[in-house]
Amino acid sequence: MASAGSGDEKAAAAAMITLISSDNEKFEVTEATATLSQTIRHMIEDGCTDGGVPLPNVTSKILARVIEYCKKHATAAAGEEGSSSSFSDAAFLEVDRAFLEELEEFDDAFLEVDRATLFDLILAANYLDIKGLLNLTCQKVADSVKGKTPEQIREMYNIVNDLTPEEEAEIRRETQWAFE
Amino acid sequence: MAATQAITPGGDGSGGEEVPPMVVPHLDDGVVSDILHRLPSKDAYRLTLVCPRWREIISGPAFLSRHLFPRPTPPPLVDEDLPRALILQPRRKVGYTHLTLVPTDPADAFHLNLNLPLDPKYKSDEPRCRHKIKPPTPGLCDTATDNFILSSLYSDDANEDPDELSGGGAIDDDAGDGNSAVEDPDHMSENGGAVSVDKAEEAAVPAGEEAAPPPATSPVPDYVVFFECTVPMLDISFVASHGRLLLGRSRTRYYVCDAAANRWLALPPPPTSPTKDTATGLHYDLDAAAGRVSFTVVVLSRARRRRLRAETFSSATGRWEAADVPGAQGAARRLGGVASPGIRVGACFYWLCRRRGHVVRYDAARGRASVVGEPPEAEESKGRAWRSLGSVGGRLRMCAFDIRDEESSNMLPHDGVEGVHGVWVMDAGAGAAAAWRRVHEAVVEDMSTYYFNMLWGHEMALDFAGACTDSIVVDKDKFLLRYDLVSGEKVRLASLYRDDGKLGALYGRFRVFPFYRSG
Repeated sequence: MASAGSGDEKAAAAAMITLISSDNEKFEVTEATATLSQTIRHMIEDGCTDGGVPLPNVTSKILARVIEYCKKHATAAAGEEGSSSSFSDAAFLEVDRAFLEELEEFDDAFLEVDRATLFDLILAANYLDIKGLLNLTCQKVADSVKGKTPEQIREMYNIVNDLTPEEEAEIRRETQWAFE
Repeated sequence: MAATQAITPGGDGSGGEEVPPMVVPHLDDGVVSDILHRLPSKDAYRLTLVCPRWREIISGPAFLSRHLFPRPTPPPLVDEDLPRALILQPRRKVGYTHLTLVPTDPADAFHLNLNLPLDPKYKSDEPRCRHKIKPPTPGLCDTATDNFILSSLYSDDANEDPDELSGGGAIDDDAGDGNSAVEDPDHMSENGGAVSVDKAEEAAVPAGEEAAPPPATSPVPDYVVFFECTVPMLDISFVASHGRLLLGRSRTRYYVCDAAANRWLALPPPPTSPTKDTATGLHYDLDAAAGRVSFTVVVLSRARRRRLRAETFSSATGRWEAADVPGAQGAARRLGGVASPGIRVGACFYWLCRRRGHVVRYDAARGRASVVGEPPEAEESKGRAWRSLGSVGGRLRMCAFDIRDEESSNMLPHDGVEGVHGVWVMDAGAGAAAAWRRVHEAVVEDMSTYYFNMLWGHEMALDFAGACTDSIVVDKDKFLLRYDLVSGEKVRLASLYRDDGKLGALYGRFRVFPFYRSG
């Protein structure tokens, strides 16, 4: 991250955290980047990050992508001065708007992945507790699910239909309007 | 975690379109809920059919508390916020849903942009939701011209009205279907009458030169879809409101609705099926930081032997809990005719009893019910002609209209009757002896009376939960006026009167709910 600026920012940038993926690959990231993850933030607060943070749930392939996301959004958070992740608040200056657009483009490009990767990202975001990434990825899945029939969803995600015909009829009766 | 590892081999190996088996089941319920609560309500409920687990998730607390969370987060409602519009709903049972939206700012009619039902803006690519009974599209009033564009309720002479000018063919069809629907709704839904109507409408729009607004190029606002489509589809009438949310009731269950976003939650059927004899209330808290809306629905009903039964649904548990309310014979007796939607103030819900002089109070926290007296009538009053219950800024408010008449023994029509507007709020911390504090009193002169109880020129205040402090809305001989309590100014909002009296008859008695919309 290139956030070389004032004194205390430098100090923050200087603190590097090592993340270790499930396949033992090591990633060096700045603290600002790592603390987008609430899970890691708590670890840092508890002072148990010496010698690296093992992340047994996340493969190196996915972790690399997650870090890519965090780096981009950490710069955004730093530029926004404290009030992180309040994107809905509007009232941004023109400069910020340009940056936000760039961020949006980044997010769109970031989501251009196959379904399996997307789910891995969701799992990683959930485990690492990265709100923004979880939001982004879940919304992406929600958009792809929108307007699909239950049959299509089952097929898409290989879900076994273990409803008995009676149960199915009951559900259809209960929420009849949803199928009209 | 094992879950991740189980997935990754598939993901690494194929890399293409091929889906690794059982992807979604590995996501924990929280994540699936996180995905599902973002879907439009109808889509989400359709997916209850995917598998039992998803069905459970959709009726679970996480989904319940997140689905209605507004995105983006709107500023919190404050005391002075006048709702964007009033939702009027006839008290009379007519066998279908009929609603009228009245903008609270007469100049706003344009922006609300609803000119139903002659030219529905909502046109979906998927088959339009089937209206079981045709007329329920809400009738909307166009206050700018002070005309009513309304559904041709039982009539087939709609096209004779010069004011209703769009697509004559569609009107005819609508009216025709309206008739058949009223007579035989089942028949209609079976033979797909609605489908033919849709075709007629679509054909009429491009052909009709007078179809004034071209098909909307901008997306249809969600609230239009809600009022035009969702309400008739769910077949609900509103029974309570709080802030931005409405509580709807169908024949079998309750729905908590966010009209502005066209989102709703179908609550599981309550232990006792909804009847007319229930008093219902809704309350919610919005936790912006957590992105959650936690809500409570309270249903009071009379049980046998004068017992009072309270059923409570909470989004935190996702279940109905039923309990007897101890020592509430008084409240049970008066519950027979609840004359207002439930108003929640503090920890209590309040309902106006049909019998004059009483308000039922239910303390949801302690599970106790009691009866509160109304404020006294104005001096020299001959009787209270009207009252309504609402809330402002966290306080209960009651509006009443009392009648003074020096010639009250005179049965013949006479003038010179006087009315008195009274507005009270109940001060917080009031015990059993309700501390009503009068905040407004004003005399309305020049009223006249025809025989007994037939008043002309009296003003019925329409209060509702979350009203604004410095004004009330009054219904004066079918004209809705916004009455500024400070300046005394009365602004005309809409007319519920129509020459043939059909709308007037339908809206002889109605309930009012606020509709908030940001932007």
